[in-house]
Amino acid sequence: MTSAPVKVNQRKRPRLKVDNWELTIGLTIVGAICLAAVLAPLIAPYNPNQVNILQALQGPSLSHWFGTDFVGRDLLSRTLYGLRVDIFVVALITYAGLCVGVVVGTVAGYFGGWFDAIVGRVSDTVISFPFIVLVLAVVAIVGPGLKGVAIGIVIVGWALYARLARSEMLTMREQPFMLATKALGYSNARAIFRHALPNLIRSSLVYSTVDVVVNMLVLAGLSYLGLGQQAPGADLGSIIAGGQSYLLNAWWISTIPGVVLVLFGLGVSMIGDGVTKGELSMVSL
Amino acid sequence: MLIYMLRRVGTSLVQLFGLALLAFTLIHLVPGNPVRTMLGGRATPLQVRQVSDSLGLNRPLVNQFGSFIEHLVTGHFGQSFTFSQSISSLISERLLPSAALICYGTIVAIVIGVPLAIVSALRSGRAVDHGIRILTTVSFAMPTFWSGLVLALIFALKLHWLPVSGYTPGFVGIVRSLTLPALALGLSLLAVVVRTLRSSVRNVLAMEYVEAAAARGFSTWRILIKHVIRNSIMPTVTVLAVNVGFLIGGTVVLEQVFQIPGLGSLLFQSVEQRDYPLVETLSVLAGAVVVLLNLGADVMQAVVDPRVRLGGQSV
Repeated sequence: MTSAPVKVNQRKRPRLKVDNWELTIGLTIVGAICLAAVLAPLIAPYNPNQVNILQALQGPSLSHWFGTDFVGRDLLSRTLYGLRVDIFVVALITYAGLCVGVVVGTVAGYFGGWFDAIVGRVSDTVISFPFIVLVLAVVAIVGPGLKGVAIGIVIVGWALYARLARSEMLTMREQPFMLATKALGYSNARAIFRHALPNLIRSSLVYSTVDVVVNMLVLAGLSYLGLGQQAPGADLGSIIAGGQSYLLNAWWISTIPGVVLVLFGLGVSMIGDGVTKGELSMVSL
Repeated sequence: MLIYMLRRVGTSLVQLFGLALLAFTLIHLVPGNPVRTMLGGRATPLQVRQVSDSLGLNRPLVNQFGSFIEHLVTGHFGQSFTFSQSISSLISERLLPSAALICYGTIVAIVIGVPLAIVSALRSGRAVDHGIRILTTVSFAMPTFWSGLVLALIFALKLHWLPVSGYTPGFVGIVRSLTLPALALGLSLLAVVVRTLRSSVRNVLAMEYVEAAAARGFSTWRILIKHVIRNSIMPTVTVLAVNVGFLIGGTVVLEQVFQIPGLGSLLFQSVEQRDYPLVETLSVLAGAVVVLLNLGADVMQAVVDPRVRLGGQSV
């Protein structure tokens, strides 16, 4: 048994790594993709909108890593610039929805009463609508383009955060430290924003990793339908849509940008899984 | 039981009313004149007024909302602008492909997901479990239109097993033409099915009656089928009902990819053409399907599991 301590040490080290391998991989993937998107103007080998008919429909090669599309635009450059648009818009709309939802939900849960009843009903109604259908209805009114899609997703997206924050607030309200804020005579605003909000925002932040993936898919889907990013600007959905007619002759146009999209979604999901170790599932979708 | 049912139906009715109100508010209270947008920039004020009159858009909003609700309840949804056809006949024409696609997609998700979930729960924490989790995460992160295109590339364009796109009526035609879109749809739902079922199977596996069954020497299969699956299936059914909204959204995009003449592509066309009455009706109906299926799942759960309805009474 003299070797026992050594064995314990050997076991401990890999275990520590195993505990967080999802977080590590997720952060690496997302970090690399975001960095590439931010640095797109520096690292993109070509102008993303530069048409070059002579180079049209070329497969992946050393000079065009992702190949070229039907008018000879370099797909690596277009994907990088597309990612820039997609990641920026998705981050903006997800966290705009989060801010609105968390504040509304927290305030509703704190005060209760008629405001709470209204928030509860409205968010329940918004959640029971199919997500894309409601976003599409908003796009129909605002008009196609990233603006319409962004407004639509925020109008729908705040509701889940409001529900999450509200239900946490309802239990937190009764806890000693919140009762203490009343006893100490703090203003409602101070009690809500300094004491309640920091404690209940965690679950919303965790859920936002799922939401980022969902919003990315919705944004790409609407761009694929031609309702998102308008030509000649690139985003991943519209690049994939543009390759559909050339699927048999030029498979790379539609497939490779999709792989990048899947990698991004995988990375974000792994961050979420790594943080929670799977405790918060996607059931609440 | 009756009290629980009445209460549950009541909440659904309130939700349905909320859906109609929300759709109506979105279309009518948003800044900008929908008729002007619909007719395009060159419309004269007279044309705008005529169309507004024919749609009844100049009446008080409360009246308009009243007749909108009346139309929804009676099933007379009025005329569509762009299709010059009544909305109800349009919907009945387009209903079957979409319904078939959603059912087929759900079946695919269940057929692939249930075995994965059980294996994952039995081997939880092991390599297989991690592998399955990553697999389902990937399937969740795949845009349905992209996986649809990849499937079409492999199974239709390269292997010629199935048609690339389109829709053929008849049972065989539906199965053949909807297999690829249903696979894409099912894959997007896979993560939800596997995660829910995995966690409920794990909960049941920790129960004493499972241990007791094992102690009595029952085979693993018997324990799994008669004791574990039976008791862990309900959360999955509920989650499937909740996710019908997600599937409906998926059909909007997938019907476009595979050129299927269903309600999803009808909604897309109505958005593109800015056919507001059609957008309004279709989105309320889509929401209503979700609400009604949730009601169905809850009622089913109450029938199967007495704890649900007793809990409902005491609240």
